[in-house]
Amino acid sequence: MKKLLQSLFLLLFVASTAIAQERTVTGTVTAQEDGLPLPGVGVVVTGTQIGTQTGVDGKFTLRVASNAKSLTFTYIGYAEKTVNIGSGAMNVVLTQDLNALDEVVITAGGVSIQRREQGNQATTIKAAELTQAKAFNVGSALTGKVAGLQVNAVSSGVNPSVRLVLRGNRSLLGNNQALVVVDNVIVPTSILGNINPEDIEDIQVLNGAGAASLYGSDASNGALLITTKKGKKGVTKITAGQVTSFETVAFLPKLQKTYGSGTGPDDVPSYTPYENQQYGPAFDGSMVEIGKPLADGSIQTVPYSWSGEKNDFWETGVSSQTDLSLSSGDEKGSYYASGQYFTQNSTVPGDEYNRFSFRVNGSRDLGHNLNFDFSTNYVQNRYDQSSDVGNAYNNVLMTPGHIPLTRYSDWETDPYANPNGYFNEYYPNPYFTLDNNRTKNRNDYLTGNAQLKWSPITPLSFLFRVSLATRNQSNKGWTNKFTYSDYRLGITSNFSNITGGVNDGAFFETRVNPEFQAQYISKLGKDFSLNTILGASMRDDNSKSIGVSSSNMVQAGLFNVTNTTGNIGGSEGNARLRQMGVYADARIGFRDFLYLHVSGRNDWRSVLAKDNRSFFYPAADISFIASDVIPFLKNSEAVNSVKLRGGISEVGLVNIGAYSLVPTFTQQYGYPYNGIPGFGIGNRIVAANLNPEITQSQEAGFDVEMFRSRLVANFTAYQSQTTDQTIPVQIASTTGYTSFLTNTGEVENKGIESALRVIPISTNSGLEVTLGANYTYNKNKVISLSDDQDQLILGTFGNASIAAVEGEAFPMMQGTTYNRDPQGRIIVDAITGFPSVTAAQVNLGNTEPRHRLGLDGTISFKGIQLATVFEYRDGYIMYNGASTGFDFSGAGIRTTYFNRERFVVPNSSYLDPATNTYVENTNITTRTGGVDFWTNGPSNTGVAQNYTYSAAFWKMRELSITYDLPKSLLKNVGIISGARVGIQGRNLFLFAPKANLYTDPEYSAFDSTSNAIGFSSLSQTPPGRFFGFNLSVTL
Amino acid sequence: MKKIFNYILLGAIFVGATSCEKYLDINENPNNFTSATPDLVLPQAIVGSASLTSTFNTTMGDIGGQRANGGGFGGFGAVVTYQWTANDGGFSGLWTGTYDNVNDYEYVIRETSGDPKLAFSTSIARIMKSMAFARLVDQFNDVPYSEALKGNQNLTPKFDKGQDVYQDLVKQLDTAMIAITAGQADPAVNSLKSSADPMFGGDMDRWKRYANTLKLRLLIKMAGVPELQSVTGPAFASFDTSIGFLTSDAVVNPGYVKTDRPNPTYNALAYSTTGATQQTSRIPTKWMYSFYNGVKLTDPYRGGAVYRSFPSSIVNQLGDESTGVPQAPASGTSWSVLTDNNDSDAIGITKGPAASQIVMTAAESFFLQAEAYERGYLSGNAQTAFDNGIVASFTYLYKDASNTVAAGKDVAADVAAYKAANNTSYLVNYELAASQAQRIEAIITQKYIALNMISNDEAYNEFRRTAYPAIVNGSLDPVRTFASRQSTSPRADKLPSRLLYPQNEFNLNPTNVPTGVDQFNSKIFWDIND
Repeated sequence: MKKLLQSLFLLLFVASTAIAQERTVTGTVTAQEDGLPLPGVGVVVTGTQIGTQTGVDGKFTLRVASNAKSLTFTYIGYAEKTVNIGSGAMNVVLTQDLNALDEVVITAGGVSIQRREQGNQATTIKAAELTQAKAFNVGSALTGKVAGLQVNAVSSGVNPSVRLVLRGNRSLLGNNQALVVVDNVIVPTSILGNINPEDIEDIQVLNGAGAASLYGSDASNGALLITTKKGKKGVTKITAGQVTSFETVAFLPKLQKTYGSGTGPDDVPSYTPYENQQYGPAFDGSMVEIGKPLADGSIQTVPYSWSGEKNDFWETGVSSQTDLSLSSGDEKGSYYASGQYFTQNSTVPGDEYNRFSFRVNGSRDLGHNLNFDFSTNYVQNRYDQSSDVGNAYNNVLMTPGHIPLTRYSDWETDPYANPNGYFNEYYPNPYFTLDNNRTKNRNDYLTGNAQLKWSPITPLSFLFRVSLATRNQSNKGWTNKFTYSDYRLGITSNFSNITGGVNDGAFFETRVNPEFQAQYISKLGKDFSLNTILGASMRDDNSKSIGVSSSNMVQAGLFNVTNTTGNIGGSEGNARLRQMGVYADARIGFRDFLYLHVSGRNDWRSVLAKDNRSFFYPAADISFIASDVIPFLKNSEAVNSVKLRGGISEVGLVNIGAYSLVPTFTQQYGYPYNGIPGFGIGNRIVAANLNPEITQSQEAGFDVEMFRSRLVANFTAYQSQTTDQTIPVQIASTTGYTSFLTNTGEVENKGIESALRVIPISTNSGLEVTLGANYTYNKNKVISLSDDQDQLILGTFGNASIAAVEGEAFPMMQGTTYNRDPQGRIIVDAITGFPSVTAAQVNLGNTEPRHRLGLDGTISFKGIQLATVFEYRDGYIMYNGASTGFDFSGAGIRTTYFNRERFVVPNSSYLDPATNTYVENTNITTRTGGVDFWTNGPSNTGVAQNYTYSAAFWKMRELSITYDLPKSLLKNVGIISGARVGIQGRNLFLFAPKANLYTDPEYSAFDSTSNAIGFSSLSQTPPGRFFGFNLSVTL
Repeated sequence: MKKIFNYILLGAIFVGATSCEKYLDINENPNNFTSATPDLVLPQAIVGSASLTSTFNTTMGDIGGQRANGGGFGGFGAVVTYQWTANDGGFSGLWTGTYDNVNDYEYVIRETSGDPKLAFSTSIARIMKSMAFARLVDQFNDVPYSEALKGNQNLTPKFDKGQDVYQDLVKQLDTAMIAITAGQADPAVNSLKSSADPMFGGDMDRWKRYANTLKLRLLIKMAGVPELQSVTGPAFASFDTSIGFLTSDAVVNPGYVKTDRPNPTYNALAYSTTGATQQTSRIPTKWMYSFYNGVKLTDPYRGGAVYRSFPSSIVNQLGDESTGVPQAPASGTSWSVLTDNNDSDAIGITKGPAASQIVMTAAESFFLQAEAYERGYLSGNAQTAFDNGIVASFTYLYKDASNTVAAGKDVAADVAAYKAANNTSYLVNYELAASQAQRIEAIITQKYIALNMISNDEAYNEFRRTAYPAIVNGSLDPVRTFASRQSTSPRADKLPSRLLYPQNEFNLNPTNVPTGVDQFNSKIFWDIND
């Protein structure tokens, strides 16, 4: 193909010499993504066949007729571009055309194929798009940009964890997160928060299991293939960059600003100076005392009005990212080296994080058809965080609105901030809570691979690759000892001395993964092509964790387990998993327009029983380039290409860890005692024939390019059925056990993924506007669970649970609600007017979005580029489990909905004893509308539905403006060949429905690996918006 | 080329397949045992049973008359109304805890019964399993027994009738006693190291006496049921009294330590491992207090051992939530005479964090004997047994953390003084009891006092079986009944009659759970009172 094009250009060049010429045009063609010259670009006078090609340095010289107005530039993998002929030398920048059918992409197994051969949905995200808003987590950088990919930043704070799910949740209890592959090496998902985004060349997102099935049993959730940068032939480039970013709180819970401290049983509010509850009288601006007198008799006095300091508690976070990279290459080899240092201060006072990463990639032609490639990456990060952020946040909410909270940051010297003098009789100073409970974590990651490829004859190649991924971690946590003064203990019975405690732990994991691949690429006759791969791989995962902890510190401030009087407790955990796989993959092409791809892999996994540990994954897909065959498409001016595709696959997911097959015995009831051991039988039994979960999936779709690639669209419909879920089924304790790990249950996912990209404006003067949209719809359903069970609780929080319920969407929020009459009205007591809570939990709604829409836009003009990304999600709900912080304390806005007066519960009824029917309630007011109603479980705080709300949102995910300094300007600076300055923002705005009083709906109170999605708590501090500036120079 | 390639591939697969097996055979657990010898399982199961003794005791205190709500807390709800649901966590804990515990005994029996050398281990497991199942039947009546504990062999075990379970438990105890006797005569049978037996230190005679006492307890409960008298009659006739009964308290001590593995009763009724005071929402009942403070009986001796600040302890009536109800004491619970959380040695209920955990008192053994003699089930002197029971009760309460009577305490003198102080009461002075009914009332009332906060569950069982100590049905007087002021019970005595099956059993074994069971109208099979 390429040869054909080249000879064509040569022909054109020869032909053109015969025509009369009148002037000479010169110029340079560079690539948009890295600013490097592009050799071999076709240059023709628009509308003619007169043309040439660029040289190795990207330069061209062409003699054109005097009436020639513009030149058209074409290059494989890049969008065609027409530029007006000006007076001086032309500087033309070509943009990669990601959807061009001939673009070469990397797919499962590290295999390079043309996009036309791909029969499954796949999206490529290039470096520029990834780093435009300078996200420091690669997961965050993908948010909203890929159809079908859902990215949730599940927490706040430094380096928050990210959950990535493709095509919905399939596994009830097992892993649903996409497989992450860096340079053909399967790595832990946590790498996304640690890899340097500037090192990434591109990310290929394989949405379905079929596309990824060559990776074996981890691929049922789709895959993210990350390719890191390599050096380029003949180009030496050094880039240095600096990004500075600020984080401010973007969304605060809605708090009442009217009432101060105190409590008011029976609607008679009284002011209490030391009370945490905010059910006192309304603010009136008068001066009031707060707290109890200190030992010396002094007491604080503040105005009785809203101070706003609860919201000022959160600080402005600052982060800084410094980058340096070097790449170079010659005819025989290339290398790329980079380093990055990143530091971050959180919005949570005192929390810090830093990360240093270093990468060396290289490749070398060893001669004799031998090629050697390697990549290595070392990352270290350090966390210094409070381990009690949730309680600190609760303590903030337990602070009445008139309290000057931020003045209490210096608890060590300020007597009013010190625990011995703090105003609050019941809850500690949040600054003290943060300082007194801390944890430090260090992680060192080393990942890398080396591969040797040998092609004895042109169609045949052998590849041997070894990869390594290690993580080395240690952690230290402590609660410092604090002894209250006798004076404080004398006036406050609620406090007891903090005895303190220390824990220390270490962990390592190592994965070694050798792999062998033989590939045979050939033409079969005139019409057929063949691309076959046979491969084998082994994987060995080894991990170990140890921990020690002790309580009752002797002296404050020395955080060592030996500084305690408690017994030092220790723990140890080991795990070793192995896997072997062999696979075969074949693509048969017919006349470059029809491709059939079949693959099969067999895995053997050590964690399964001998008889069950071998299993096979088949997959097949087909790709048909309709635009090359169907005449009206072929001849259409408007249509560039149309590809139809479809695939089916079956992939197994092993959802148990090492050593799960045999019940264990543990020391119980305090054993060991004094050197004497004692063991009891564990509570779980395991089915003898445990198998992997099986996901069968089907997908079909099309890709269209029109109007010279100015409109690109794709559409995919998919469905998957996951059967044989590995579930610890609850069993009656009368069996002697409480859970039975077995294969049962089925989950179905159905959905569509679609994306559209248009370039409405592209002028010869260089103005280009690109607009993109992607939309995803996913609906899932639990088809069955087990014979004995129609629901399975995944997690419980407050008065709500996340469950898998037969016949319902998954995950399903269940919770308590008000008792209602048959017409759905809330039943109130005919005397007190109080509603009551149901004993049972009912289905409240699903907790994963049905609809997701991503919008993006780019405007570029003369070196200036503006880019933005928006995201919308809807069709799901969320529960906030912090009713204590909000309504018990009286800080929440709900407690003022009826101005703390008696009220008629809206849409309520009561039982008329005379008729024994429910009668609409128009006049029975609640016995009280103050503290008694709002802090009471059955009437308010115990009703989960009161804290459940639509989790829909619009977010402005990214906004960035960059400016590439003109070359002419840089000439004077000497060695600098390129410079770019920019400003960037992320998550700048969050628009949520009014019902969301609490926080970011992306959050999850459980960690990113938990499928119990839909809870938020106070451990997730308010979400941040990031904005800042960046600068990079290229030498 | 292609052929060579095929050969290479075939060869690779062959080599791979053989080494593959070894490469993958690494799934042996390095973290936990996947099997354990019976001698590792038996001792922790006994310690588990001892811990459950404390759990049963504490949980049943609200129902049995010993414990009431304290002031300063609201929302006692079902605790004071008896409107329990199957979801009640406290009661389901008794169920699941027991099945978890008996599963360990079942394992020991399964693993050892094939080996005659391990007859002692088998027999101990049999005795303890019988004790645990009897305790379960006493609160839940019909329970899964014959099909229980089979793991995934039977995920929905059927429920056996309480009385059928009892009959089999008697057989199990007989089997165990016979096997122990045979084992004691056979030098080939392994004797138990004292460390492997945290209850009797390997003394098999004491195990037999314990088994015999349990058997007596079962038969006495069955004997009141007319349809079971055809079983109990011959059983008493052939009763092997030569084995004897428990004469000293059956206690367990694997080596409790304060910091993280304290005595369960201390942990439940005195202080947590962090030193926090327990039972902050509960205080003693005025009902129970009346057996000590002179209202019904005068007993400053045991009263002072059991209650903090006797005779002016903080007390209440169950269900009285009115303002002015005193809060639980902050320094330590009302059932602890330990001065504070640093004190580790005291008499009474909570003797200390390292003290032994009671499983069965000698007092109960004597009162069981007294009843058997009084009713003529067995031959013996009821009054002697009754008096021994009172002495044994004083003795247990006067013991300190070292399981010996504390210095300065004189059991004989105080028992004499107790008798003198109550010289007109047949509840104390047996010879004053004029009828068998009064004598039985005296025996059961003294048992009730002796088991106060030690085995509240058994005290309540015996109340249900015999209707003693006597109450005045429907009275609101806190010393005339222990029924809650807020009772919703339709029964004459305003009390509940049994616990409800836990929700999980309804969820997971729905076809087998007996239907129509409620906490007021359904009774345990030995409950022959209305």
